[in-house]
Amino acid sequence: MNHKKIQKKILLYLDGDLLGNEKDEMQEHLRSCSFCSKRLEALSRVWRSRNAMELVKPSPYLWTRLAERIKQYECNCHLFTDMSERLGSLVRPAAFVLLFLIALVVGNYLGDFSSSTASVDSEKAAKEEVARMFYMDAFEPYPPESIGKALTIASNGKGGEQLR
Amino acid sequence: MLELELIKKLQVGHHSAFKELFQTYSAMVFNVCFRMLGNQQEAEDVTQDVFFKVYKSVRQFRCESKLSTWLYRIAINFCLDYQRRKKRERLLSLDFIFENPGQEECGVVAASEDGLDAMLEKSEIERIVQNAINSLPKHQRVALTLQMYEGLPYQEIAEVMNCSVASVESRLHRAKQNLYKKLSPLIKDL
Repeated sequence: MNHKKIQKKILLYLDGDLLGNEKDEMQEHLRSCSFCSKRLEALSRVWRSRNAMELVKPSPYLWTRLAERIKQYECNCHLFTDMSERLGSLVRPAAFVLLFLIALVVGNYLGDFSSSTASVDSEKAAKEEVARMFYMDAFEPYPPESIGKALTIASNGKGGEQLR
Repeated sequence: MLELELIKKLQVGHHSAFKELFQTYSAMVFNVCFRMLGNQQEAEDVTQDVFFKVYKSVRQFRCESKLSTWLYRIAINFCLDYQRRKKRERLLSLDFIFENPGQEECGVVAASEDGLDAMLEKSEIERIVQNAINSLPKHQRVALTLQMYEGLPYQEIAEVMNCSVASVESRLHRAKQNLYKKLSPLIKDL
């Protein structure tokens, strides 16, 4: 193992992460190489002191701040629930009223449409009634004792037959 | 209170159970956050965020892992998000143009002309090691923090990081090799 490879694994060796052959090779090299063993010693001082520093403690008010935040969150949740309930109580009747209005408008529109077609039909029916009254219906033959027949015979003779 | 009992009470909404949870685990969460962020105020803010998240989501906790593992996972994720957000804000504010590439960024302080002895104070060494760790890639940094400072076994680190034990070993391996490169200028005087 060369120096570069050894030195790359020094921290692993210090932490006991090297096993088997690698560990044996490292130990053998360190026995014979003063440069690497000095590096190991210097690095172990640095590496082992990493946990020596006192742990920083959190502020004693951390819990108070957290509790306040949770309280605020719960208040907002209740507010949201209240608001949605109130909206619900307003929205439903408003929806019904709106539907009713829409139904009125549509019904009114449909009613106008049907009455306009009915008036055309009634006019036509009235005209046909008048034509029938005086036997002037083009597709109806003149009844024998009708004035129309008599007039037709009197004026045309054969024409009356053609007309029929 | 046993962990399972505590979780059941938390899921039902007992405030006293939540306070007990906080008292039991706040130091642990704070330490992880402090190691990851390097700043007490930020660590406290993130710790608060972690417990607030726990309060809102404890009903979804399915007891598939230990409570501490779950807390570690939330804390690590929040710390990484915080760092990402901070970096983005720094880039957007353009402050980085006027900053010197600090020692915190490089991760290593070169040995002074007076030699190593002047620098070998506990807090200085700790700061140097912490800076070197902070300059590692994200996954290596997390694995190293959990192993070095929390003393977690490989299996638990794998659960926190949601990866295999082999990945954890590999990350730790690479982290220590990279760390050596960053720390070696410190001992180059020898």
